[in-house]
Order: sequence, then C-alpha cells, then structure tokens
Amino acid sequence: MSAGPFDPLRMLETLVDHDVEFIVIGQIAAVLQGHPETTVDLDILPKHAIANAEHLADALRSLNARHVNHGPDTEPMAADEQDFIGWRVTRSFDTDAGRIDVVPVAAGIGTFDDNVDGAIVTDLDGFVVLTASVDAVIASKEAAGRPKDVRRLPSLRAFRDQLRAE
Amino acid sequence: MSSAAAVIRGARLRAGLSVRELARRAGTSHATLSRYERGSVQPAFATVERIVRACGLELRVHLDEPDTSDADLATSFLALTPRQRLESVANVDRLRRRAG
Repeated sequence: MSAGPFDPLRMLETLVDHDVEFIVIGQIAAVLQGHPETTVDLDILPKHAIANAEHLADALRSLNARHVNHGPDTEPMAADEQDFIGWRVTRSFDTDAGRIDVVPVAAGIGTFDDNVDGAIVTDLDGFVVLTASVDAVIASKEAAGRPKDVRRLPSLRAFRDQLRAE
Repeated sequence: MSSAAAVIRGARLRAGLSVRELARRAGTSHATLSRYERGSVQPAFATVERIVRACGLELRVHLDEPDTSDADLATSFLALTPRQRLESVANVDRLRRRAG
C-alpha cells in the first residue's frame, strides 16, 4: 500500500537521479504532452540491461518500494535487481510516492529499444525524461485493451487530433 | 448480447456474409443462426468453432490472469486520506505544468 499521495514528479526525479534509462509510457506520458486527464500510477519502460536493473532497483528501494500484494498470503517484498533481469511480466510497486508499473514489453509498442528512437525528450525544468508519443500511448492502449485503457481512448484520440491541428 | 452471440455476429460481419449465406455454409438454418446471434439460444462451444470456421476464420482461446489493475489502483487510492487524494491529482497537474 502506498504511504503517501501519488507524486509522479518525485518518482521521475528519483529515477533520473539514479541514472535509470527508461521511457515514460501510459497516461503520464500523455499528461507530459498536455493531456488533461489525471491518473494515479506511473508506467515506465526501462532499458533491458543488468546495470540498468541495478539502478532501477536502487531507485525503487530509495522510494521504499514494495511489490503490490496480489494474494492474501503473499508478503510484500522489496524491489531487487533480479526482478528486472530477463523478466517478462509487468511488475507493480507501491512506493512512498505512489504506484509505479515497471513494464518489460509494452503491448503494441514493444521494448525500450523499440521505442527509444521515437521517444520525445521532455524537459522538466531541471532534468529531462524520455516520453512515449501520444500515438504510441494510443497504440499501446489499443493493444492492451483492458477496460481502463479502452475508457481513455476517445479522449486520447481527440487530444492527438488537437495536437496535429496546432 | 452473450459472448457467443458477439463472436458469431462479429465473425459473420468480418467475413461479409449474410445470415442466410453463413447458415448455409455452416450447415444450420437461418432461424437457428439468428437465435445464436441474438443470444436467445446458447450454442455449444464446438458449434461456435464450426460457425467461425465457416466464416473463413479461426477461433483462438487462451487462458489469462484476470485483470485486477483497476481494483488494485482503487485499493491504493482508497488507502489515502481525502486530502492525499486531492494532493495526488494536484501532483499530476504540477507535472503537466512543469513539462509545458
């Protein structure tokens, strides 16, 4: 369970401070480009590399991250670099700054390496992060097809059209 | 509309077939196929497979973990105080302004 309010800026600063290579995906990626709808979790697509796994685990530990507890008999576990070496399923953590989903392969758009060239460099007034384009966010949500993804799509498509018109 | 009804109707429309033509190809009657599509009769799984094949498509089924992401997020958000919930929304706004 997260201990405090969702604070994506704090999470992003922490990841950057720990030299984690990642791309922001999901709704926060859309928010960074101006989409007006809020969310309560941060999704990231980290680079698959042992050094990056260590940096990511360090960053998450500094946020007091715990695996999201899916079962009544499952004890929360701290983030460990082994979580991010050769992993294939999204790992969700509750941290002191809210929920973060660490995604190895994003539905419809693939891995960090698949997306890094098309990612947008977003200046957060003191540090920069790589951000998936709104097109990529839409493609990923279309492919994922979960109820929460499908609900967002009309608004995201309208926002993409607005961006193209400007 | 039941899931079987949606699958059959979706397959037929994707194949561009009329109800009558699909019924002929699948070896059933127009009336029976209409009942399947309306959901008033539940066909056996093997029947759905056969009708989908008659549309020139293949029905693939896979098992997956239930999607609990909405419930998980709601649980986390409910654990916050009302003030913290407002702060969460404000923090997203702060991030948006910082990027803009």
